[in-house]
This record gives sequence, structure tokens and C-alpha cells, in this order.
Amino acid sequence: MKSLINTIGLAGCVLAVNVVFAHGPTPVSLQNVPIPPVPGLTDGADPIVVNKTAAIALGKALFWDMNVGSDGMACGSCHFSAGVDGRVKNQLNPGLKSSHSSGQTFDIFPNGAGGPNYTLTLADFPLHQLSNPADKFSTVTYTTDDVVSSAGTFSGDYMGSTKLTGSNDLCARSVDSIFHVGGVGTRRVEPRNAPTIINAVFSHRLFWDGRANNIFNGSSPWGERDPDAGIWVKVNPKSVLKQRLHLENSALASLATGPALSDFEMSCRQRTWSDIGRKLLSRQPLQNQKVHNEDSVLGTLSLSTAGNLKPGLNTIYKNLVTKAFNQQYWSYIALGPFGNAPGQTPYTQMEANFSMFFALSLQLYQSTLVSDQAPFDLSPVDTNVRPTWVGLGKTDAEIAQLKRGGTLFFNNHCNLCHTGPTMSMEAITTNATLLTPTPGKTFGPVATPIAYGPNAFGAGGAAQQAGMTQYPNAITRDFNANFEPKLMDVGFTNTAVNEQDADLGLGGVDDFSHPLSYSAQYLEYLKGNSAGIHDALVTKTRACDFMAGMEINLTNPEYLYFTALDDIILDGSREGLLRTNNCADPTTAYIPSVAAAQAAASDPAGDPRMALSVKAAFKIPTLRNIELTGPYMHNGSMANLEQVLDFYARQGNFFHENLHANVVAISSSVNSTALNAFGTSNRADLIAYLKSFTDERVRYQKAPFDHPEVLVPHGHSGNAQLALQGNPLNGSLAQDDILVVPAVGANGSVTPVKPFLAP
Amino acid sequence: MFMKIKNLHLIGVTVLCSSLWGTQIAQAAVTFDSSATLTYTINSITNLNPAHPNDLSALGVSGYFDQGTDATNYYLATTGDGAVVANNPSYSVDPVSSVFGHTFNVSGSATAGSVDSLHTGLFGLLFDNSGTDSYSIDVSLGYELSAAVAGLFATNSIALDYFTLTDSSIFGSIDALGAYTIDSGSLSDSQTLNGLFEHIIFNIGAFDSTNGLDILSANIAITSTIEPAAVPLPSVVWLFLSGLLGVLGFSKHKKSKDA
Repeated sequence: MKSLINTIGLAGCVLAVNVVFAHGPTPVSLQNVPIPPVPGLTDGADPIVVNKTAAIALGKALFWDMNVGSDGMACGSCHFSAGVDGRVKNQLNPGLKSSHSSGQTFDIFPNGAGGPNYTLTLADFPLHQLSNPADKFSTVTYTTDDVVSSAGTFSGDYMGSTKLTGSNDLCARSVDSIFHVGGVGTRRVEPRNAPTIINAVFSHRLFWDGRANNIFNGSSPWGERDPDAGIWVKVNPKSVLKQRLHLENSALASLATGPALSDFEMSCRQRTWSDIGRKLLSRQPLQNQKVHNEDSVLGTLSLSTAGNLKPGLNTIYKNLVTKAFNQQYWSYIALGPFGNAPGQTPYTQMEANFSMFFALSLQLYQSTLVSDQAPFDLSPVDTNVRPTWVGLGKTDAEIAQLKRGGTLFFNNHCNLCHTGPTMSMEAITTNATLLTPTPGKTFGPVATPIAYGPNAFGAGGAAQQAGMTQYPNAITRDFNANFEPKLMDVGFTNTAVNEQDADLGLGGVDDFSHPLSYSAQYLEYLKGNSAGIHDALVTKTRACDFMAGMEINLTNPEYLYFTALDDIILDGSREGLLRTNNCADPTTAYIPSVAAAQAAASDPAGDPRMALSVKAAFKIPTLRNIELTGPYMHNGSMANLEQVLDFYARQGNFFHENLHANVVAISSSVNSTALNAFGTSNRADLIAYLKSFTDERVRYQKAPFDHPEVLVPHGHSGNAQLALQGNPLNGSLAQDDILVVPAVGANGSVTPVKPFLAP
Repeated sequence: MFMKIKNLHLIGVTVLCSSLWGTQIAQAAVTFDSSATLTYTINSITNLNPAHPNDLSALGVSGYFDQGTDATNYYLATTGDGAVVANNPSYSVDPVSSVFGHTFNVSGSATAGSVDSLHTGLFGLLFDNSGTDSYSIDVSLGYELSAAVAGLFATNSIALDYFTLTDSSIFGSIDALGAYTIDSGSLSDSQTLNGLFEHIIFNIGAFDSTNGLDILSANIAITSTIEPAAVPLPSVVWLFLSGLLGVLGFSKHKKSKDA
């Protein structure tokens, strides 16, 4: 397999103008693909959730409720348009993830404006502009480390909130040192672009840097890494115990514990989950937001009638919690164990466990947000599991174009990252499940069901050519742009969108200064340092499924591989449970012994056999509904698909040692600027193919993508030069302009969701 | 796709704030009223010494009620004219022959203030064994719970837990029977629940240093919050609004009368 990959890499390098050496797995239909299981959540002898329907209603209400935020921000405020943010004003962050001082200050766009309260236009994009967009080494005409993202909260120091009325927390608010226009405070803006929540349930980890752990611990994003995490369980009327949950495939729940406490996104500082519980539990859900009488989840709880939409639900949050969740998590009467804020009454068990109610109900709600009815999903497939496009009402010309687009997608190796039913390698559990031979199990379109097994993503075991097997490997060893193998996290890739120091991404650390990446922990595993392992699945990594093994079956020294000359051991022998079965090449099922790994790691020059590539690597996003989910990339630096294809056709914006080999194997034949009508035509074909990933239910906000009304702060009165002060929260803050996103029922809206900055 | 509101002038700002931030300026009395009546009925007591199964002479039974006052089972926070009536003196009966019952009441109101409270009442049935025999005890626990509220905004809930002092495997509960009012929904609500835990059976051992005493306890927790609508706005918002209303020639008093 290694020789094949090397050959491909070489081909990509030499034939950069027009690569046609296609291989590997293909995107497939999402129809009938199961949600990753979460043992213990709704099943088993003593499930956490006892009424899933009630939990989904609770989750939907909480997701859209502006009262969750300290000053009017709901989760849905940044995810209201095809699961992403559709706003264009006050959406800039100066690049606070950068290690350079430039990340602290806003840049001026070529038109002479920028920064807080700026209104973006198409002319501002892409944020990295070249004299020749086809050539990343051509003169840079404009570049910035500013990030297009989402405006959130003014924040401030949290002081308290009321239980039944009022919406804003009491906070000591003041003008932010970065986010202001001439001394008038503006809402703070996140340092990364908001990804879509649709189909997020299939992700192994979430956030661009993967910090939302696959394991949900009950109270924080950090899974097994957080020693203080946990929730309170009532043992009997006289006692409670704090326990840390261990719910698998629950990155959505891990994620959910983050934004509502973030002083960029939704919260005043020092606010806790117990405080949010106290604010909300006795309160009417969606108290000030209209709910459609035909809402697919909340309609029966709404106070609305046809033509007369009213705010709120006909219940309070406490009732939804007690209906949805096992009583052992909320029914303890006494106070005391759960602490209290200074000067405040003690928290109740229900308040103390609110992180769990919030996170798991949001996870269950978002598990319903599966868009599996795009033309791509509904089309029958051929023997190679690629769409035939017949039976969908398409003309012969349209079918021909979609097939050309699909071929371009494949030939340019887009499929090597954007593959499987979610169109992302990162959906580790889902991909492995479908690749496991399981008699009688199929997925995909009804007319041409696809059998589970190694050929599920293409005949001839195509998935294995990208290192994907029935084993949910979270780590691989793959090639960088210099075709050197390095350890990488599956589903996280450096595509050189920006300079590496602009944002470390997966190369960053968690709140405990531990590396986010699995690969860095795998090095510690190889070295026998169990204290360096914070995510247990790292120890189950299968070396023989790596794109390039740790070891190569030679008897002479190799610069990039351990060989038989080194002290090597069979993978799994340390645990007494060999990981050598079903290997495509059994000779690669070796790893260095602890001594050999320690020796290599001690090389002050850096032994390339122990090299990592995680710096500035970001999660491979889904391509589903990609037409509607701009701006693109972790920094929101591209406005439309044309700019994205230009970016890939020039093989990234930069060249550095962590750039993935797949990016430099992309042909420039989809770039329109440098070439000719051939490039333009190819690009149109590829975009037509990408648009086949759009589910019309998403475009028209039909169930399950319908939602309550949400009033979204959309910039401030004035512009980037002058903002009108006098916000009711604090007179020194700018007045909010408000975008009213109307309530939509199950039948959707007549008005389609438009792409980012579309006229 | 979306309507966009631009708040370009001052009055527009006020209207916008009212809708966005849920400001309510109406004022009316808001009340809550809770009551819990618990009744223990001793179905049977059996002396486990087969030599004299009907000899209960060494076993004393008494009943008592106490309202909780420490920080683990009580808090009360009021503002303005918010007030609570929770006049439930301790009460006891000794001996109890077959039935012990009592009622626990908490009520409150506010017009220009708020109440946030937890009141608990502990109903105990105490068994004191001074002899050398053991006993099997069978008790039923009847309950009549009611929680009522009126006016915006109020929530009021009652929960019941019962348990014994010595055997952690014996317990049961009624969970958070609640009444609430919500904007644009019901302006009053009343919830009641009557029922019976039948045949709570436990043993009490012979008297020694660790045995011979057991209590069947039932704990009632009444959690109540009332916030008349105009009260809870952050002070900065109040200042802003009152200043603005002053400018426009209205007074809060006038506005509230109109509402």
C-alpha cells in the first residue's frame, strides 16, 4: 500500500496540471445510515433519558432560546441559516488565535474599512488575494489574519439573573478593549467560523480543532480529560454522589457545554451551568420568541394558532426536564452538596445537573437534524456506488454534467478526505460501521441498497485505499506535501488556508495544557508514557491501517520508517491483544518497542519516524448543503464555492511542512482564472456536483429543519466608523440592529435560504 | 429571507428593547399557595419473637412534624413587598396508636417585589424499642398535595420523599408536582395530587447500642418563585427606561395603571 501511495503522490506532484489518477473511496448516500449509538443514554436498565420525545422538545427549545445567553444570544443565533450563520455585519475577529501580535488588531480591507461593525461584501473575499489566483506563489495583493465568524455577546462580569422574567443577566458590562468603534462597545466576535450543525451528529469530535470530546462527561467539553467533571446522582432521599459520565459518540453534548459559557459567544464571564439552570428551569421556554403552530417538534406545546403566532411554550423548563430525564438526576430535595455562588442561595440538584440536561437534550435534538434527501442521496447508484442520477427528473445534459463533476471530484482526490456518507473522513464511527461486513444490513437509496462491508464506499475495497476499514482508527500516518509520512488525526487536515501560526487548530492544547490531538498522545503511547494519554481510544490504534506504517519490512536503515534493524514489536503485543487481524499488509502491523520509541524521541534533531502533522490541521467539514453553508474554511475566508475551488486548484494558499499531500495532488484544471474555458467548464461541472448535496428541506427550512423565531443581533446602528451608543444593557455599548428570523413550521418557508452574500 | 429592523430613532429603540428583552411593565398581585397533608397509618406491627407475636409492650410509637430551618432545607429571599406565610409550628403526638397526620402550608404574595423560597416540612413516625424483641412494621403513607399560583409570573412546586433512618433500601417519592403561570398562557394554575404509599414494611431490631430506634420520615419540599413582571429588569435597564419614559412625558405609575 505504501508504494502505491508514494506513486500516487509522485503522480500528483508531476501531473499537477491535470491529474487523472483517481483512487479511493467515494462519498455515498446518507439514506438509512444509523446515528452513532450512545449506550446508556436512552437504553439499558437505567437510562439517563426516559422520554426521548420530551428530551428532543427540551433540546429544540433550549437550542433556539435567546434566554440561554447572558444578553440575548441563542445557540441558534449563529446557526439559523442551513445550520450556519447568515450574517454579514460585525462578523470580524482580529485573528485572536494567532501567536503574532497582528492577531490582536483588526486589519483594513482593500476598500479602506474593516473591523468591528463592518459590513462584509463580496469584494472583500477571499481574504488572501493573489495577483494570479491560480498561483499561490504569485504576488499577494491583499492578506489578513482577520477571521470572518459570528458576533456573540458583549459579555461582562456575571453577577446574577432572575428566575422567571427579564432576559438579560445582570453583569458588570463595559467597553471591550478590542471590540469597539471609537470607544463605543460592540459585540465580541468568535475567532473561528461557525460550522453547520446539520449532520453534526455523525462527527467523532466537534469544533474545528476537535476539542469537543467524543466522550461526554456530564459537564464539560473535555471527556475523560477533566478530573473535576461530573454530575450528581441521587442514590436515595438521603444521599447523592458525584459521578463522571462516560457517554460515547457524544461530541454534540461535549460541544454543547462550551458556547453558553463562552465570553465570545453567549455568556458573561464566571457564569456557571448551575447559574444557567437557575435562570431557566422555572421559566417558560422561548418566553419571548414566537413558535409556529406547525413546528415539527414544538407545535403541540406552542400557544399559537394558525395565523396567530404567539411566543413561548405552554410549560416551563422544569417540567420538560422531569419528563425527559431519569429522576435520579433531579429529584433530590435537600440542598448543600451542590454549592452556591457567593451571596446566593444554594443550588439544587436540578440546577447543578443542568449542564447534562442541556447537553444531552441538545444532542438528541441535533441528532434529528440529518439531511439525507439531497439528489445525491436519492439517486440510485451503479456497481461502483456512484450516483446514476436517473429517476430524479434531470435532463440528459444535467446528468452528463453531474457525472463530469463527480469524475472531477474523484480525479482531484477530493474523495480522499470528503468521503463516506457524511462526506468527511472524520465520521470515524459511522464510516467504520458501514465498512463492517454485516449480513443483511444495507444503507443508501431504496432502489439500490448498498451492503455494509469493505466495498460500501466503492468496489475493490476502495475505502482501504484511504486507510478506512471496519476498525474505527482515529489516527493514521499519512503524507505531507513533501511526501514524508507523519502521524495525523483521521479527519483533520492542514490545507494551508492560512499561515500555521495564525491558528494552531488541532495542534493546540486543552484547558489542562494537554494536546488536543490523538496523534501527539499516540507518541506518548509508543514511548510507554501512560500519563501522556488522555483519550483512551489512542491505545487501541491499529498501525496496520495507517496509510504509511511505522515500520517497513526491510533489513536496511530507513530514514522515515522503523525497520527490522530496529527493536520492533507486533502491534498490540504490549497489551496481549494483537492488532494484526484483517490487515491489508500484515508486515505493517509492527510498532517500535518502548525502548526504540524513547530512543527515537530523544533525538534532539527530531527523528522523522516520530514526526507529527497536527499543527494548523482542522476538521474536515461535511460537504452536505455546502452550497448554503458559506463562508468557508475555519477562518471564513472564502465567500463562495468558486473561491474555494480556486483555492484548491492552487493547492492551498501557502506551502509548509504540514500541508497534506492530497492538497498538492489537486489539478489546476478546475481553476478558471489562470487557464481557459476548459477550467471554467470544469469548475461549473464540479459546482453542479457539489450542489447536488443540497437537501431541499434545508433550503426551505422544512421539518426537521424548521424552528422558532429568533431575533439575532446583526451589527449595530451605524457602521465601522461610527456606532450609535446607548444600548439598554449599558449606555456605553452600541445599539443592536436586529435580524428577525421568523418562526417556521414543518412545511417550511416559501423563501429559500440563500448562499452567503448571494444577492 | 429575513426581515430586518433598523432601530434608527430613539422610540424605535425602546419598542425593540421591549420585544427583544421581554420587558413587562404590568403590575398586579402575584400569589402562591401550597399545602401538604400527610397521614401515617400503622397497618400492623408484629413481634418477631414467635413466643409472643402480639406483645408490643416494649415498642413506643410517636409522631412529629418540624419545619426545616437550616441551610440544607430552607431559604427565603424577598424583595420589595414580597412576603411569605409559613406558620407551621412544630407538632407532635406521643404515643401514636394507629394514625398520625398533619398539614403543612406555605403561601406568599408580591405586588412590587419578589419571593424565592424553599420550605421543607419533615413528618416523622418514630419507633423506639426498649426491649429485646424485634418487630416487623407495616405502615401506609397517605398524601394530599396541592400547589397553586395566580398572576404573572409564578411557579410553585411540591416534592415528597419518604425514607427510613436505618434501611437505605426503603424509599419512595412524588416528584415536583408543579403549578406555574406563563405569559400569554394561563394566569392561574392549581395542581393537586392525592394518593397512598401502601405497605411500607421494615423491621426494627432489639435494643442495644445501635439498634432499637428507627424513624419513617417523609420530607415535603415546597419551592416557590414569584416575580411580578416589572421587577426583575437589571437596574441599568430600569434607569434607561425610566429616563426615557420621563422624556416622553409618562410616568411608571401611570403606565402601570393603564396596564
